[in-house]
Amino acid sequence: MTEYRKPLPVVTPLERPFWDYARRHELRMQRCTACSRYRYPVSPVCANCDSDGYEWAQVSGRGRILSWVVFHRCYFPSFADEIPYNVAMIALDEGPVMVSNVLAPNDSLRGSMPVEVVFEDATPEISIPKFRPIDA
Amino acid sequence: MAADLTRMRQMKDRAAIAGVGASAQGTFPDSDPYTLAIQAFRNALDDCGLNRTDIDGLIVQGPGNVSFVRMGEMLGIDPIVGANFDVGGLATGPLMQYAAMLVATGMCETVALLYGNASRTEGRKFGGDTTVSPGREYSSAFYYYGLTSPGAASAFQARMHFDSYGSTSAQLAAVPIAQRKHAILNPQAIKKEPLTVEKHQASKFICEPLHVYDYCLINDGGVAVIVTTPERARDLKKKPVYVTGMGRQDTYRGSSIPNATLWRDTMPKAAEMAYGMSGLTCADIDALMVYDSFSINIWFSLENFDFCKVGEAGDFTQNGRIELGGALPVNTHGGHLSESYMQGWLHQVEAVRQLRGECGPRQVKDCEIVQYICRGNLAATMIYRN
Repeated sequence: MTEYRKPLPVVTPLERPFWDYARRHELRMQRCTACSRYRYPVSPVCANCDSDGYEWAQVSGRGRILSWVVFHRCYFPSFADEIPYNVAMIALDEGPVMVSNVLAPNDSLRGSMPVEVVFEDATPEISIPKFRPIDA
Repeated sequence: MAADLTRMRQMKDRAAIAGVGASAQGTFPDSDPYTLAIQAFRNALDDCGLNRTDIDGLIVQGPGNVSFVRMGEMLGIDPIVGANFDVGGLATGPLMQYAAMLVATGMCETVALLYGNASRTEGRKFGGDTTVSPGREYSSAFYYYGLTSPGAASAFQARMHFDSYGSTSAQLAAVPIAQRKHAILNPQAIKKEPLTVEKHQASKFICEPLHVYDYCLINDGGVAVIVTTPERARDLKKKPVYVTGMGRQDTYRGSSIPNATLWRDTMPKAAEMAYGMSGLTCADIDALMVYDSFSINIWFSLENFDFCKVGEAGDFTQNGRIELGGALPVNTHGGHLSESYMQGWLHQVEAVRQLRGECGPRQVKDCEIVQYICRGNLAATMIYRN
């Protein structure tokens, strides 16, 4: 594997399971054991019902593009080779909205386009969830 | 939960802006935020005739770590109260409100708000950080996807507006074009080359779909505003400008990602508060100052404050309506897009100058009520009258 130069997530104790599952190419999110609401980004407490309890529930990894942008200015030198690159907001079928990159030409992206998760192995410890278009 | 408007109405016109001042605006490689803020402060003191020893409240703001304690030390004053609020340009409306509250409660008599910004000289890019800043208006949590900068959050929202309502980037160009026309009439403004839709559309993207002309400038400068009691203000050099309404509504849920609701559920509450306190409506507003880090902010402010219907800001802002001479002049100084990027502080100065009738060729006729709006996760508004 060539050296990964782009910024990596700083993993807090609360987020550790998310990234441990991601390394196994599983997209899991906290789901409240009291009201079944997902918590994303991570939280020690349910914003809906105030319960502490949760499980790391596997989600489908499927969703739709809510909006997307294309970076033409380089803010991170490690992204210079990828300019212009996209960043999309993706509404998962289960509800949570993720931010990610869509592995497709920028000019092919459309609102409501269906996508599914794929994992990019950045380092031996970190695999980053990304998305690719799928047929509706 | 809602604000107690009966009690808020007791605060109506109980604080006044007595003095405003600005330093030169531009690029000053030998300067720093403190020096620029102090230059502006001197101009504001001259503007109203007060002395710095009259200041018993000191509010200090600027990108980066500008300290109110250090500022007070430099100025040689020990005010009763000092404060800042580290949420960038979202702080301006809230800090004006805190100043008005300090004066209206009697805790302070005269509050100076000092702003210093040396972002151009410091090479600040407003993007590229890998530290997470909770509470800011944009996500800093997803930098590993290359997501960064407040402009990207606005670009996501601009795309949503275009997709949802059929509005276009060419329509959005009406905002920077109007403000450039205003800047041409403002001696303090930095950008004066005329702008056209064609030039806007042909310009480079920063974060698509926003073009470079949809982005604020990045420059150096200082601004100062002095707030005091109406009684004190009436004895000073210039006609007082009264704080007649104010509103605020925060949005914390979903704040790690760009706001996908376009603040439809929250911003109208800030409007309701300010109009409820003042007894005014948007039909009473003679000129509107809108926080314009990005052009699209004008659309969200107009729609969420009921100047036009949701989804219709694209059409509403065409044909000169938001230009001087139009029905609703917006950012008559040129704003962040063309005058100077002082994070909302020169918007307060312009409101005061318009209400005093000091604006020369860009003066709004019979200007009696001016409103300031800042959208975002800390939505805030001020209504000023003369």
